[in-house]
Amino acid sequence: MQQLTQLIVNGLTMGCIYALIALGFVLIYRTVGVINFAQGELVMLAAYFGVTAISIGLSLIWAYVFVIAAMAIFGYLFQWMIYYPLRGKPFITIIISTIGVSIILQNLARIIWGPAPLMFPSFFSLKPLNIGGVLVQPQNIFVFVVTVVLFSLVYLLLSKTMIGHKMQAVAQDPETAKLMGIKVDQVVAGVFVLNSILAGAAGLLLAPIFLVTLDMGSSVLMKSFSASIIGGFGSVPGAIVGGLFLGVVEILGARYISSHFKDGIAFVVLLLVLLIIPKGLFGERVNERS
Amino acid sequence: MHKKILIAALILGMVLTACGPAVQEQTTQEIPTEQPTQLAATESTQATTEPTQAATVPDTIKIGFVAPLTTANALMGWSMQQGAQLAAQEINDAGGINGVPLELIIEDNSNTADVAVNAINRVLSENPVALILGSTSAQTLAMEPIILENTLPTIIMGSSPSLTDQGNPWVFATRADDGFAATAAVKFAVEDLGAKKVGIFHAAEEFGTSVAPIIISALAEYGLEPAAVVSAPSTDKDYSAQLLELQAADVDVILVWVLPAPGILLARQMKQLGMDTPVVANPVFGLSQVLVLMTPEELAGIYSMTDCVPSQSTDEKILAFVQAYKDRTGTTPDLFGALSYDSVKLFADVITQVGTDLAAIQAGLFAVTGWPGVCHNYSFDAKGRGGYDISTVDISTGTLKVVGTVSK
Amino acid sequence: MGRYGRYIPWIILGCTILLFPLRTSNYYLQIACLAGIYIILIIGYDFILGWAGLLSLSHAAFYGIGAYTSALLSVNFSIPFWVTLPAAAIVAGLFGLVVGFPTLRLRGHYLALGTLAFGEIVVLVLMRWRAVTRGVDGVTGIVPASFGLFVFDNNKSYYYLLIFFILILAIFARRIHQSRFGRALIAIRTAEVTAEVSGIDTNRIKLLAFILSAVYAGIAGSLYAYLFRYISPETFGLHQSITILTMLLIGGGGSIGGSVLGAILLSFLPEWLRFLKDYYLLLYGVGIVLMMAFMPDGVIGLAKKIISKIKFRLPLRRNV
Repeated sequence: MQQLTQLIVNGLTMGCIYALIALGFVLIYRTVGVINFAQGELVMLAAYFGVTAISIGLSLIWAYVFVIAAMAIFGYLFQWMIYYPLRGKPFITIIISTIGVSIILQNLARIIWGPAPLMFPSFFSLKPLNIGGVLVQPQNIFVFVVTVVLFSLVYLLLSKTMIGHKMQAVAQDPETAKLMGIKVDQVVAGVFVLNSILAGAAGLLLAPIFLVTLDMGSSVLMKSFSASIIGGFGSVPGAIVGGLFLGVVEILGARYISSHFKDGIAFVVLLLVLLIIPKGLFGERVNERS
Repeated sequence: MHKKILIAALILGMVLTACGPAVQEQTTQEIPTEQPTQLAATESTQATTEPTQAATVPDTIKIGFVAPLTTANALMGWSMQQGAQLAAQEINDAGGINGVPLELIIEDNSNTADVAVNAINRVLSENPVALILGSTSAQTLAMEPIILENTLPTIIMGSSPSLTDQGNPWVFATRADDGFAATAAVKFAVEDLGAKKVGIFHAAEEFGTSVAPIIISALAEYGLEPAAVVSAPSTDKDYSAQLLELQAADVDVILVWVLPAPGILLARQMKQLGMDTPVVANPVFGLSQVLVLMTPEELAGIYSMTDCVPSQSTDEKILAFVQAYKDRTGTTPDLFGALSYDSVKLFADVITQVGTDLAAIQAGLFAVTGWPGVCHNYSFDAKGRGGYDISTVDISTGTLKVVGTVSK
Repeated sequence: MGRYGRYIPWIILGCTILLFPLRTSNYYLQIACLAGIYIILIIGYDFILGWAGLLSLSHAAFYGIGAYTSALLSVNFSIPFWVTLPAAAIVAGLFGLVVGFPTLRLRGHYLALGTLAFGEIVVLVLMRWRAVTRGVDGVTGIVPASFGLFVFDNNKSYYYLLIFFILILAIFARRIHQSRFGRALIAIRTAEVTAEVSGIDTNRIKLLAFILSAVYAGIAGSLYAYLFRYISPETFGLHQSITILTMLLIGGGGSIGGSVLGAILLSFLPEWLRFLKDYYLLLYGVGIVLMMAFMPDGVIGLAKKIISKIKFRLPLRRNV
């Protein structure tokens, strides 16, 4: 029983991580209808920026500030160089471009920071807390809290603010949005910057747990992607529910069925969910764009 | 207009990256510039593959080198490349092979079989007299038919027994095979640590999965069966399901076969779950890049089975290698750097004696007995396996302490 | 220009392709052979993405199923090439039916992820079902393909064998594109609802396209197994599906020419860049981004644009 609780707690932590990475590309998808295959590399890049910030002598808190600022700039450049020239093209064209970006960033990071794993510190000690026999990492609680806060903020932003409505309008029909006086390009740029910042937050939070490696983002990207599909693609609550669900199911499956099929479990669950509820748990509010 | 800016920005980005390695010395491909004693020597150590340039310097002895320099195994490939280039540099500084400079033709295999085959074909188009492969087993197996077809003496650093079981007389291995290493690991676990219930944790990829049955048959020699066998893909980041399964099976020793980053995470997560079961692992914990990332608590109770620990040697020649490697890269050499260094030196030695005829080099390698390298004393058996030493390393103090060595 | 003048470029191209192996190194020949296999894969993938407009990420899995079918039949039962090749096509096609039937109900990104999941499961089974697939070690010792007494045991002869298959499969694909079925596919891609209303059984058509693409992938897989004579599961993972997707889009979807150009270009590009050493994959990524920026409709799209411009100008000049 205690082991089961422990597994569920650890599964929820992984679930949070899936959800956190999924949040960014749900946002991109909602607004411009594009899947960003470079999302994992954005997470990785943020962590490497963090390592550099620490190595030039910044304190942890300033390192966070540095990384978020750097990622915001990067997000703007990313949309300006990759998305903007291709706007209005079929989504698949832009997907290929993001695949190109992910190859670039992978190799760039290897050349600049080398292939060896690196360390990024945490605000908390590595000593686990013992809560009723269940061992929990302080950093994991931090991840959980930040995830909940970021999800709430993004949810409020999208549903309660004017910017959110503008984003929704751009997502539904960019032409009409333009006619209504919405500065579409600015909204899109804003979304890319926000996405990049969210990826940056994910990178900073994961780095102390995962180590800083070239594959730290891309290795969980497909799971995050699956999580957001299970929840219903494009839905913010769907991403967190899908993430937590996948994290728990995966860990329980690995423990009680077979660890040799751990990756398979996630994908079997994904297939089953899709076949039973073809639009995921929370459906899709944004129309399919092509 | 916008596209022009895009190009400008991309080119700028490229220029910036090209400047990057100036700061990050360790990632540069070039050999640190030394006072050239010989013009030809420096030219060849630049590892030029430009065909026109090779044509103008026809009198070099070329050795091909294919390793994973990008993607998942880049760390291993990096060490191998450093070791090989160091050896080539030393040989050329000493006047080359019988006065002819040695040239390494270095290519990346991107960690996939398809690219590995392209890489070896590219190397072959430069007419090398020997080949060194730092690839994983699947890639090496994909390349073996080509080696056989071209009758090219090849030294591999892969450890899977299947690589030397193909009956390919041109393939030589400098690393002890997994069968030998697994037997040594099991012997240490059972005899020294008194294991009764052994758990196995291996990477789900080819290199880990192929070891599991070998460990199981080594355990059977002691009349033991594994209490639990779990695996995790190297992209996985959370091992609590696997670890709790091992804990539930009440194992007293865990045999671990994983890549570097998962190894660190595994050790950390064990402590986080309150497990202090001793771990006997593959060479990952012998890598200096791994040790620096681990806290004292995480290091406790971990043993690593590795071919060699050059930095702990008392041999002057080996210590000189360790120092030269440190000067070059800023890190202590691991077994991959050492094996790669040995492989180049061994080829150079054989070629010095028998010349560049392929069959003569092959015969020369078979005739090698007790050749003193950094990692092993090499003698190749009929299968082409040459190095049979496995050291058990205790890392609990944060340094590598050799607690036992098994040799054949 | 004479009556047959317009064939001259094609004749030159044909001769170049036929004479290529005689004038090149084994290194380029090997890349050309692999490119040939990709051409078949991508012509097949074009049915589903370029024509039907469905994003599937399981193409590498069918490729793998084809390769394993051929390899295992050859190694375990010594069945000759000309039997294992159709067997690979049939088995891959059957898997296409079984997978396509439930997943093609999904739309857009849901379909992409559903097929991706299937692909990953296939790789996992190939790795884990040791008794049948020989697990992670892969299958070694595949005997070279032979036809009668002629053995295709080197890259040169294999190159011509591949050309033969590419021609047949490309011609077949072209016939399909021009058939009622091909027009139905276009109708589905451009306006599925309209297609449905006008009496096209969209589900059946999509399923047929999916099976067809799986059959092509199966044939490509079989040819891959006989080219390398060694296969291992990791070749057929998601990264391969993404490579296939990239190749098609770089070449330009919806045309055989695009499939051919994309496969050739992206097979050779990383190898051409090798002289850059550490930077070669970085520049490969830059190349993909630039190609998409300047040729969003692929190489073939750009070529068509240029040709139409030339055609537009020529009569003008004559008037002057």
